[in-house]
Amino acid sequence: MTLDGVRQAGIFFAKRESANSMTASSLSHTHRRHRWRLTFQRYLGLTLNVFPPFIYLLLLFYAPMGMMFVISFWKSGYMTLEPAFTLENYKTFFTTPIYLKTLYNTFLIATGSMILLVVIGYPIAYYLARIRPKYTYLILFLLIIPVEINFLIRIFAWKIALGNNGVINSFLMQLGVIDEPLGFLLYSKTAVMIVLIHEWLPYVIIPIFLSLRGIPDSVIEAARDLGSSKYDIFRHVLLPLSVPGLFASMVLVYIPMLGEFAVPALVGGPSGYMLGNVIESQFLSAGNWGLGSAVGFILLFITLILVAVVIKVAGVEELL
Amino acid sequence: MKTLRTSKFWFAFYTYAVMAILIYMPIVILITFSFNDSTIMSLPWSGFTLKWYQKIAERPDLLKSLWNSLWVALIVTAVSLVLGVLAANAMARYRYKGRIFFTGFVSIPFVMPWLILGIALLVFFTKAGIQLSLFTVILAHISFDVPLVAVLVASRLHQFDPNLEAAARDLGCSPLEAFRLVTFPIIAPAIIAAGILAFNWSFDAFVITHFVIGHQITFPIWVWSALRFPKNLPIINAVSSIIVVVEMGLIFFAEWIRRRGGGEEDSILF
Repeated sequence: MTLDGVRQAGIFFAKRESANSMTASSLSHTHRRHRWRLTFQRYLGLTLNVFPPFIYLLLLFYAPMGMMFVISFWKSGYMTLEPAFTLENYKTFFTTPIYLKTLYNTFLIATGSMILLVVIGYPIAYYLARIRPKYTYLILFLLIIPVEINFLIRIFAWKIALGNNGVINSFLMQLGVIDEPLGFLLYSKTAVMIVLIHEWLPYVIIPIFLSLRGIPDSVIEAARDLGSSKYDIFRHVLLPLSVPGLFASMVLVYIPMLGEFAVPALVGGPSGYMLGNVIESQFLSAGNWGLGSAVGFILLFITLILVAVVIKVAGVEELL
Repeated sequence: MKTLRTSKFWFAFYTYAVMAILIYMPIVILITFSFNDSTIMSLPWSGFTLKWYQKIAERPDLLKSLWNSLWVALIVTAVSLVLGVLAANAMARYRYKGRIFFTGFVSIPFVMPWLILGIALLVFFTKAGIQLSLFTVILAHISFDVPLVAVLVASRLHQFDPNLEAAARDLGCSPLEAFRLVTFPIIAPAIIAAGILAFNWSFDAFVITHFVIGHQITFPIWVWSALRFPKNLPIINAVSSIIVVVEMGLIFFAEWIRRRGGGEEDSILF
């Protein structure tokens, strides 16, 4: 028997013995007191660990969320808010063409960016998974650094790059590639999507990379030995096995992109307006909190459905 | 074999090209133009200057915002670390009914759009009669940073062998001693890395802050309002460049700590 086997057996017998002794009535008084003290300390420890964060989040996350939900049903107008149950706010949202157009825009931009992110990010994740770990971590590190730089500053940097007099346009004009600035680069859906892709690319690459790295080489070799072409290996082996990572990364970036408001506010212009901008203006300039809360809750509802789907598919444990 | 090598070359080329254009180009442009002697940020280059860096010192509002962000982030980090480590303990080191519920309870704020958290807290503070100020900003940031710390530290605790602590207890340590002498030194790198991330996040947080700050300013709020005035742009550029360099320094420090703790597999972000 191997050493490990001996240890396993030892643990097994020790467990059985402790299970027996628990039920045995011949347990001495001091033993029982000792066991009781251990259990008590365990519960005390658990309670001390659970309650402070639980109470904090209950008060400063869940209560505000609940309040927002309640207020979305209140009668609300410019700077007024009365407690009364009404579906008026939701009705206003779903019957005003400009809001529906914004909802459509939001999904268009978020979905388009997500598809582009996956298409751009997958080959990079694949490359990272197939090179030596030393280089993998260097590149991952280089991908992560810019994420930590203030996000408004990075949006501002894109503004310098994309504007009519911006670096890209001036550069292309000096090269003689174009005669007049490419107007669609700034204050457009394109601009919002470029900045979103810049912002979220690392978050897409990492989960896909992790799931691709988990695929054993032997699986790929077996497929190759059995005569699969490179495309077949990708289509029938790598892609199906990387679906969990792909799925996780898609949800990870889709939720925050739906709720984006700083990017469209700075580089989106009127055509890049998103739901986040509607919510922000209802709260900070239009003063209609009921409507703002309702729009917020519609966004939240979509988010919760997405989270629920992921938990259903992947399980809470795997997400952590 | 040869075809394999060429395809590897193209993958490498693609990876570096995407990183250069989509991720690093704007940052390089930003830093380069902070030395440009013009308020208009376009080519051609108008000459080298350091005057935008000198002007930072002449803006008391900017300095005040940086100072505010700094101490807000310090308080947020301290409180979030305490609450986050407690939550991580409860998520990873105990087996009890409701553990999955608690894990979900703590993790949900982490996946919530910041905008939603911002407006919910704005509604809450106003209805509860709490004056919007840097204090409400601190409370709001902690709501997001606790889940951040908890998730990061819990992932380290999952790898931790509980027998080590049981051994310490057998040898006569009290629960607190066992934690201080055995568990803490092992999870310290994860805690420090989480602390640095929490600090960074709070220092940079714009979306939530935007809703709950009232009339005070933090650095991101200063940037947001300064962006509306073209004459400010070079100063934003200069101060951003300094912050980019400082933040990169912090990240390198966090990474160094993590590597010293032997965490080869898990990155500081995941």
